Amino acid sequence: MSEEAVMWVEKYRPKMLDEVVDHKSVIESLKGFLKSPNTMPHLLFAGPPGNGKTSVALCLARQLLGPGWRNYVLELNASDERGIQMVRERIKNFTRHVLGTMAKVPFGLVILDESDQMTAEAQTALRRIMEANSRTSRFILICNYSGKIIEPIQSRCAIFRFAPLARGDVENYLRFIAKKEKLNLQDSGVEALIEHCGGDLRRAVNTLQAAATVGRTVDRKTVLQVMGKAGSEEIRDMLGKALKGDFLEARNTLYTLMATYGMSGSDIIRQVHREIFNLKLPPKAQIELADIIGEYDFRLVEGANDDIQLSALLAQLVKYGSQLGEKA
Amino acid sequence: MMWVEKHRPQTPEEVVGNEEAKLKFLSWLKKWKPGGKAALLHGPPGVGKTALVHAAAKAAAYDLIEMNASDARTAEKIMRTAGHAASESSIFQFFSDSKGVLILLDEVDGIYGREDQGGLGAILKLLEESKVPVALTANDISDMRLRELKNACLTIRFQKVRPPVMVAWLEEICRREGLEAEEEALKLIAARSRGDVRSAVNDLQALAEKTRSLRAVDVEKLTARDRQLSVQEVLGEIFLTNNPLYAKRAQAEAEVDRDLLHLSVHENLPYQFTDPEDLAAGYDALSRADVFFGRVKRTQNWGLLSYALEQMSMGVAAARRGKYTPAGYRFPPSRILILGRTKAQRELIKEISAKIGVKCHVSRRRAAADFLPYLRVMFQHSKEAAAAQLASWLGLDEAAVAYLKGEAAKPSSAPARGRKPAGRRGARR
Repeated sequence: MSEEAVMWVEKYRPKMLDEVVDHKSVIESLKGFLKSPNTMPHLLFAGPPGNGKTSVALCLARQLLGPGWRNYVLELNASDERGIQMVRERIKNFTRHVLGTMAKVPFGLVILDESDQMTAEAQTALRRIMEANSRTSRFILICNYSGKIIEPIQSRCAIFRFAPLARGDVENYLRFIAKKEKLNLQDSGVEALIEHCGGDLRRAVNTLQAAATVGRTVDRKTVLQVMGKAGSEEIRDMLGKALKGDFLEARNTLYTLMATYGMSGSDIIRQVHREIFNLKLPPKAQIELADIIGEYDFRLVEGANDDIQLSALLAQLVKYGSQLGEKA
Repeated sequence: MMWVEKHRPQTPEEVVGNEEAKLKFLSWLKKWKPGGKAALLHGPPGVGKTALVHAAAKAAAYDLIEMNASDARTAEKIMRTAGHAASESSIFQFFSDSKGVLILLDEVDGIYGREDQGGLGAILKLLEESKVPVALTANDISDMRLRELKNACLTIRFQKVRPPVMVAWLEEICRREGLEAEEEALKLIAARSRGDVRSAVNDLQALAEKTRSLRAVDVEKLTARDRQLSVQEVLGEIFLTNNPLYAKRAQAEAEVDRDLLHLSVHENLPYQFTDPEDLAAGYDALSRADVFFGRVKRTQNWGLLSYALEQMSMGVAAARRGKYTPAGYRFPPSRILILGRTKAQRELIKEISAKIGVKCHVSRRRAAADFLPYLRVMFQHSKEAAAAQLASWLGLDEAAVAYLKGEAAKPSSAPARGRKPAGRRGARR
């Protein structure tokens, strides 16, 4: 860590467990392992995105393994690593390496992020890897939904649930960063950030940092401006075209979003879902549209081709729009 | 009903041609005792390998347990379904009149794929341990990887079915179906099939749809288009036919593969189904097709493929209520062109996302969703020095910075950017 982090999510990532906002009871339990590391089982952290799971895992690693902790930690992301074979190889190499220097630390630590992205088969293989290496290594599995983790793995882990961050904690943290960065963060700015990012502190901090480049005063207008530039404007544009019946133009916008922003189908549909409630439509229409979106979100997960599913959704919106028009 | 199913041989005698191979197989089955070798029937497609095993099993009162290449053939699965029957034959016999179980492993030469790790080993183990006869079929056993399997089996070679034998069988089918046909016509069908009985019967059925008295000229027409339909023809059937079954058949005869056809229907649907309800219903079918494709991909259960193919052809055809006039269809699909044009840019995005991922402890996917859009804003509004600092911390090169600043970095991404406004002006349509 020679140079200071420039992205705020890293610059203001807690270093020690005590600096972590929220999750008090989780932190207390984990601190118990610091006193007697050998009693620590494998851990499973579950909770919504951007609420501090990875931060806590890194803090724990730093405090458990002391200076030079990075040498004893293998950080993997299941959604990046191609297949279980890769995971197996890297873990095998890692445990061999850790064995050679085992005098200094109680064990090596494998942090496997987004582990719920693995198929059930891959998880079964992972379970064997965990067992084969438990003498030298501990695993911290991180996921959004513990339900997507197979039972045998769950039963081998101490499970810690990271509840969504409390609104007050998000607000305090954003204000803390603003103060450090000498930003004028207005109440309306905080409101807007929380409205759009919910308990996802990572997104909120990224949005705040982007807003800070637009102006040193951050209020609702600045935040909305950033959201618009970050894609929500195009999404709204696409929805508008579809509801007006211009399917071809809507589909072109969709292609642009995927190509220019490199957005995946599920990112787009997540934003579409959010934007529906910003459209000038009666609540009944909004919830009916949300229902349609939910169906296609599901098909997107099941299907093979994102742009066919999203185009099919747009076609449904065209149909819905034409029916609205007839009623009016 | 497909004629190849309807007229599937019921007895070994009805299996056309390959008399020598037939006798060899029947005598193997008759003499088989526990510990005996398995039989490996190999030869070109459509000559009756599987049909013979079915018919012989029936004739000799065996219960047939069949697995084919479309099953995800992992070692475990084979042992679970086939191994079970193979080791407990006595229980089977006890509860039924059957002589026992005959296991058929179809198309074993397709087994050594990535998805079939250990599949071949499992088969060898099964052959060794089996207490019941096992028959295997394959198109081509010349591959070195099948050497061990060949040694463990009695190999029985099947050849292409000769035209005179085939013509006799086609005549028999015509008789059963009450179809008049010139002998010349049947000879042409047989010649076209290149020894493949299955495809000959399929051709005969297709021709019989159009006429009840088949002449040689009808077959010549079929020959002229060489069985495969152009994309234009297939799309025409899917979008305009009055009988959705024709759409299904057209899909099966398309000269393009199913993925490309799926994309082509996707591309052209909005130009053809202009009514919003038809558009939505048509896309619903395409979306369902895609769900099945996804399941096939994930589970490797190729048996699900036909559901996908039906949705993308028949499903779309059945969705139409309005009447439309034929159009010149767009091909290749623009989505493919766009993907080609933006390939460099997508690679760049991947690269940037990976770098963010390492620095900020997130996956590429999350980096693309939760960092990239905001980084673009930061780069487009920051002062030069601040942007440079950001770029150096993340380890981004010039091309990456240019992309984040919204400048057309490489010529390859320029057309894509230039095209969008042009599309917007295209509202005159």
